[in-house]
Amino acid sequence: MNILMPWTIKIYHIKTCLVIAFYLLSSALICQNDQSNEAKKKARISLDYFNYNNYGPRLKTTVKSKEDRSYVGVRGVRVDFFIEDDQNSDYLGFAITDKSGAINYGLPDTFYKAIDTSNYYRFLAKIEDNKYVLDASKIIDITRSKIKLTTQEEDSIRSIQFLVERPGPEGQLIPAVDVEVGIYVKRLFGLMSIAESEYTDENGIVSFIFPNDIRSDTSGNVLIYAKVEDHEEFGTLIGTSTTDWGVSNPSSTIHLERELWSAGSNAPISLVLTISLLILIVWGFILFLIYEVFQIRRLGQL
Amino acid sequence: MTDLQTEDKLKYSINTSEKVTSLLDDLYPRPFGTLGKIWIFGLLIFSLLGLYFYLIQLDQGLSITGLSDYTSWGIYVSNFVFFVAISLVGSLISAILKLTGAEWRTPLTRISEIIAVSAIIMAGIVIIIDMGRPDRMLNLIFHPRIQSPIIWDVIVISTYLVLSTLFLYLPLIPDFAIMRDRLKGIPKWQQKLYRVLSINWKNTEAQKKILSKAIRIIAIIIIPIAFGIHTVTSWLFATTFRPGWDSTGVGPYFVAGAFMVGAACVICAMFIFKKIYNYKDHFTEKHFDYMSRLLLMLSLIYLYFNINEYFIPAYKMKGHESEHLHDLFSGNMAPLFWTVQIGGMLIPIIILMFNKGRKPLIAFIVSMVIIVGAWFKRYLIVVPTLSYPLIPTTRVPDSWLHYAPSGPEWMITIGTLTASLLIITLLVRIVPVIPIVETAEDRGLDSQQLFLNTNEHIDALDN
Repeated sequence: MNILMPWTIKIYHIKTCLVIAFYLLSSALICQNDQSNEAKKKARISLDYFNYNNYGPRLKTTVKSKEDRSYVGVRGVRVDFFIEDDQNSDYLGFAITDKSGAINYGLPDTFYKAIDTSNYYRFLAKIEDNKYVLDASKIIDITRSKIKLTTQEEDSIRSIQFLVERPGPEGQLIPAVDVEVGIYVKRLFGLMSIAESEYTDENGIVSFIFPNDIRSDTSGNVLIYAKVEDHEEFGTLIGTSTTDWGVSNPSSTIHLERELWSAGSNAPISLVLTISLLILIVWGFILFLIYEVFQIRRLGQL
Repeated sequence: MTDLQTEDKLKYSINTSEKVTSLLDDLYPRPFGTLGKIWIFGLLIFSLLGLYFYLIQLDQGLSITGLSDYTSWGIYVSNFVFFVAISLVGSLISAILKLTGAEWRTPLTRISEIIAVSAIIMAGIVIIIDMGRPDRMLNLIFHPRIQSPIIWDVIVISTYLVLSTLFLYLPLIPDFAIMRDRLKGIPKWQQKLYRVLSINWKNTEAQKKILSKAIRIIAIIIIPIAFGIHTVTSWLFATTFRPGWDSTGVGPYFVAGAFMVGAACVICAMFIFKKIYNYKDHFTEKHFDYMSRLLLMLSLIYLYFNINEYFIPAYKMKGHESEHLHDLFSGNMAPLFWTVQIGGMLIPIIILMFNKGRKPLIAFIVSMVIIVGAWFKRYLIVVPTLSYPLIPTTRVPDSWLHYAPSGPEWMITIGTLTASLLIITLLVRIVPVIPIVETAEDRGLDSQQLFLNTNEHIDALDN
């Protein structure tokens, strides 16, 4: 007994130690897990569908998290994209957010295969197991649409027509009525509205008169944008067309004129003359003084 | 001629000759003593340290300085403006006082011209130091943009450098000739230097006429150029929209400040040479009194411009100007601003108003304070306004928001200041601090007797 006692105590100690170690390890793991979850921030994800001239639809996503009192974009978050219907969910691909937390994702071939048979589709954007933000997802439902932007000039009146079509009850395209359309021209840093927004009529068409005083590039070209913005069924639809209806900007050649702000080779003549004259006068005196020094030297040699 | 008349003439001649010899012995440049050698050594060390750090800056770029996209002009540009300001002293003492007929200026002219040349050389060097890529200085020459005030500054500084050097050199020609003929026991290089620089001067009437005309011309044209150099430097600031600089009064404000610090420099130089060369007879209490009165007048003019430059914008407190002025009056810059304004200007003005305040020692101390204050005043003109960019940028590095000169930047700046003193020290080793010929003429001596190789003097020696 006396011999066994130490062994018993020893085994008892080992068991106790193992239990304590297990407890500590599991607690640490749980804490670590909790801490990592605490370090992650709640993400706010947005998902928008864009159709440019019926060509190459895109999905735009932003991932933001709250910092102080405002939401800021989170960089480097992977977002997976899916297209779904009632039965299936097809994986489209993934993209990583840029420094502003944004993704502009061009839909791949998988998308076109998936929509062959359907006029309605559901997109899913999903964040999973990311080290910066908690899991999040966003779904949007889009109805297939078709747009067409045309321009015409009759009796000096320049007009723009924008047609929006949507699937009918039997799948054929019919005019989309009462869709709000805005009209813009492209400027250097954004879009400039050139008329009040209008709603499509019973033919799915909206018309705008193009103003005669829109500045353009030197060739008179302007890029016209007709835009259905964030429509609940169609997403964002953008039709563009380039016309030569603009007024070319005469001030674009201002840097070629002789002005104070021009290049050195185009300095104002009056300034060049004034400064040159001053330099000539002063340096004329200096050269005369140097000549006088040589005169003094010459007189000393006589 | 009776024997009595001949004896009187001989006595007069001996007496005059003694006076000439005594004057020349007094005014010849002197070799350095122990203290002078230590002084030169100290200046050399700091100048070489400055050069060493500049070589590092050349290698690593301006990143070793405290300059940033916000404060792109720091103590280098402050130092540049300071040197340009000091360089105006030559035109003040030698040209303006000459044209106004102030005869007491004679002993001050040479030293003020030496200070001017030294300062304008260093101004040119400092502005190149401020360039991250000094090789691009050539672009200013090969691809100038005449509309830019920077080009105007380059033109006017190089012109003023040439004019100042000529203004120092021309009155020195007769002095070089005297030293060429009379100074014995000097190194060969020094003899050769005097021979070359005296350009065969024989003190003939024809030579004197040409020299006198040349000095009169240069005394006239250097004045507008001197005003121009500091006005154009002020336009580097005034042609921008920045608070503190966007003012039509910056030109005269800069010129007034420059004359003030220039006059202070001359008083300091007078005091130092009076002590080390024992020039009590040349730099008398009268000279200190007159120069102090001149300094007082210039300080009052500068005070007037200061009130204009700060009071009127402070009355309106518009936009960015308000931020800038609050920073100066009660913000980060307030301790320096009020120390400079009160300690570097108001208190010196009060002291200089009293007779005792214009005594040599007090005038020297006051002038030293004015010079130090003037350096920091340039810092206050250049740096604080740059802390308020007109196009505010968010998320800039914290280091951009506050400018603090780096160690290498300080060392380079100190190096330029010591290099300037080194130039002055080396120049006074080879040229007389006080003009010999003019002083002799002021004392009623026949300047002709100063020259050994003239025909008249040879005749006198024969008799």
